[in-house]
Amino acid sequence: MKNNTILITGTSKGIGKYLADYFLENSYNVVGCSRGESVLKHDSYHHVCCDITIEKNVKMAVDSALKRFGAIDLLINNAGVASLNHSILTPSTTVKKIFETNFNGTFYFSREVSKVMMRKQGGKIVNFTTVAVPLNLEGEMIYASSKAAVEKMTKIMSKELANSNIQINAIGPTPIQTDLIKAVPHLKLQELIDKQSIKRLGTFEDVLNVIKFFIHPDSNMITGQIIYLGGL
Amino acid sequence: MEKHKIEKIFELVRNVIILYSNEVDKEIKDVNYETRLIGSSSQLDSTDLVQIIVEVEDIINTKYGSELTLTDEKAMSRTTSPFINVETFVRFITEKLNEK
Repeated sequence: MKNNTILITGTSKGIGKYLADYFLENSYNVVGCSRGESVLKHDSYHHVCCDITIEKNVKMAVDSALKRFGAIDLLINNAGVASLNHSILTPSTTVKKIFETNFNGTFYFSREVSKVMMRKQGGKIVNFTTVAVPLNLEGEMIYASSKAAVEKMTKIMSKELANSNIQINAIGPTPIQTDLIKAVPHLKLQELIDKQSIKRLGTFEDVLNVIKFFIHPDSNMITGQIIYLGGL
Repeated sequence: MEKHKIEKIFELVRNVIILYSNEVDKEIKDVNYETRLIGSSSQLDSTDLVQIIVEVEDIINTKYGSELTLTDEKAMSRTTSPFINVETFVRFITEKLNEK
């Protein structure tokens, strides 16, 4: 039987690298992308150097994945950047950078991979949002806004592509010990965790668990949903 | 030369529409330049149109070695869309190819 091919953005470190390792261990073909060279070596791993904010780069990455594995069955839009700042002190360059990566990058990959999935009438996409959206966290206006846009994209594209048997959902992790939160002060993190029902940091395994649910063949009736970790 | 190219693209679009309409049991038998792609007089709905565009884009890029993306701000407008009928669609593709 042909192995499923999964495309994961942002595989150079953190959750993206963890997910790539997991799916490689579980006999998937994995296409990873990051701006730099690959940190993963595996016969079933194909790396594409790609700036996800550049439309042409994304198309090339998708073409490259198809040339190597002939299909893309699953897409995990993991790549993202965060920013912590008061709205009044946020420069326009930050706004542009955050939206280009979190929203535009997710959209470019979703659009191009959906075309591939439409042709074979099936596929699953998982986007990344954050608990900062429902919590309306001060200091995360730009980051949370870009992810709120990703949530809206998830819900609308899931309707537009339902007829093509493509399911699109999103996971909203709590803070996890990654580079994304390394600059967040300890007190601020604790305040955030106190707002969750389950008062602890998230783990890579928590994220993987939700992704496995979304991409499971039995989840064909699940689309346009946002699942937050931690109980919000 | 241009006329020849347009005819080739028309044939390609025509084949995609006929194949697709057969697949979804819409049976569009006669596809010509005037065949409507959107609007109340079209047999296709917006989902059908998107499927056809994606298929045409893929075939064109394979055939011409191009990197076309058949996106357009006015895609679903009923008065100025490049997808109003087969003729506007073929003209739109030709223009995009000439932009290369």
